[in-house]
Amino acid sequence: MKWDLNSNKMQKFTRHELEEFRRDLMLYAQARVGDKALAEDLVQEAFVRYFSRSGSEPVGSPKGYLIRTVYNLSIDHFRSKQIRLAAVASETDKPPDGETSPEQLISESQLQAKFDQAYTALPERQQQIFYMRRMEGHSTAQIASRFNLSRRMVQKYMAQIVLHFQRYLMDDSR
Amino acid sequence: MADQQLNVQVDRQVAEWIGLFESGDMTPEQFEEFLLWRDATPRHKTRFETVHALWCETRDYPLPKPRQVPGEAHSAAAGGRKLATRIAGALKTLFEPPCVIATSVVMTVLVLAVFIWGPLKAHQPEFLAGIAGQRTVTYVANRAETLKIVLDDGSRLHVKALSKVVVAYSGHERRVVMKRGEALFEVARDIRRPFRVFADKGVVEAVGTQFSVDIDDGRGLNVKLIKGVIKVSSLDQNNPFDRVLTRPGHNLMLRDSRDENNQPVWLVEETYFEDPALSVAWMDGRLIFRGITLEKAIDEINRYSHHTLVLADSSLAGIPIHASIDAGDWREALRAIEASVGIETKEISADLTYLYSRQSR
Repeated sequence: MKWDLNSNKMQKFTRHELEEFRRDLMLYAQARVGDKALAEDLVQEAFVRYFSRSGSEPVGSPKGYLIRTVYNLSIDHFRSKQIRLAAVASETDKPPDGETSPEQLISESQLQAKFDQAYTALPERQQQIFYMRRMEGHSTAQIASRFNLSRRMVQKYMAQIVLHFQRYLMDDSR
Repeated sequence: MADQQLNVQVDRQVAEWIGLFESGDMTPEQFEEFLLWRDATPRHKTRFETVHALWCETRDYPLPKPRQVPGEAHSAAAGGRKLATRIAGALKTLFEPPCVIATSVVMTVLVLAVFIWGPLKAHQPEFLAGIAGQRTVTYVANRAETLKIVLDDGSRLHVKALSKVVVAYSGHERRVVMKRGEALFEVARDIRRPFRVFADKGVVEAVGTQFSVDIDDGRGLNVKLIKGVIKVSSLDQNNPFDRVLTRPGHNLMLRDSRDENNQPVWLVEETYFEDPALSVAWMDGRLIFRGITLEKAIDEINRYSHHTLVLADSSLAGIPIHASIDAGDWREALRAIEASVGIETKEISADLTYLYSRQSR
């Protein structure tokens, strides 16, 4: 099923269908806040807000409404810097059934070896940017400021970094 | 050929999208644009999901620190050069919480530092000028008491009896230095400020995982992984060591030693615990012994009681003990020991009891 972002077709969709959108929303929420438990809370809150507005004006695009609600909640979270304690769940998410898992593509040890190889082969600046982002959690703005770059440039570097890793990780000849 | 070119193009687009996800800056409009792109063709969807899954799979992999990051020298100077220099070479980062996927908000760190008997300076927290130029707070727990403290970020600190912990938070790091004894941390998640525990010659750092770190008897590190993934690193530049632990219950013991050329090396011992959470049972007022020596068990029992048990017969020291008792109840502890070991006891005074082997009396 495709969601039409620019129409009211989603008005016809059932609650179950809307729940199917949860997975995409989780993808976005996790990209925003980085933490799975917190992302789940934001997504849950977004759905609660959506379904509790039954008596209100119809939402033109439920999907857009949910995405923006998650976005606003993530902003609220960072503004308040509210940190909550929650259960630990450090296991990496498993891909949904029916998809090829990374484990099937390559063994864990091989994957890490390729990852290390790719990291070592990164140009110096990209290595520094990647380290600051992944290991130190710096935002794009912070990295841009540190390197005296524009945010857009940092994002371009990130894309180059991902592509670089992608070539190493997906290349069986290495 | 055309198909190959298309794949290259799609891979570039995938990298751009993942890079944007990675940045944490994605706007709602960009995400909607992404969904449109992803669902435009099966090729987009398949390729994105394959690469994204692989990318997330590498989330827990550690990265060695690049030689120089802009602005770092300034930070180090501002933060206090002396300690920073001491640790700089060996400090390793642990795992970040997954961008996407992994997760947690609570991390538990147990640090058992060098066990030193003797008077402690203070019961109430004292403020010291301190670590890396930051305001630091020192917490000291006297014998038979446990401190429970809520830190600024919501993390909770449990300081075991006869223990001392220094906490130094800054805008970019949450640092804890174990001075003595044992402490347990329930660490609030903060992606922008890693939580680092320095103890003896090692450092353990993690975000979004659960583990314990002991520095046992002053001879090295003793790290127990409860959940998640951690990295253990040496602070000694002359004796580097890095090791990733991934299996819950993995107990890594590092002992400071020297090789045949008199060079410093780590002796590594590894065991696995069925239930590593037992090691933090003291938080709930319980002491659970699963085969530790009587000598060590008595050290633990004495830690929680003003009454002192003394092993008067050294032949008892190495006997393994299995018991579960209330911390602070030394009489119950004695009964538990008597049930499994042939001992006799003599109460010398109101706060002192000797333990003898039955055979030696």
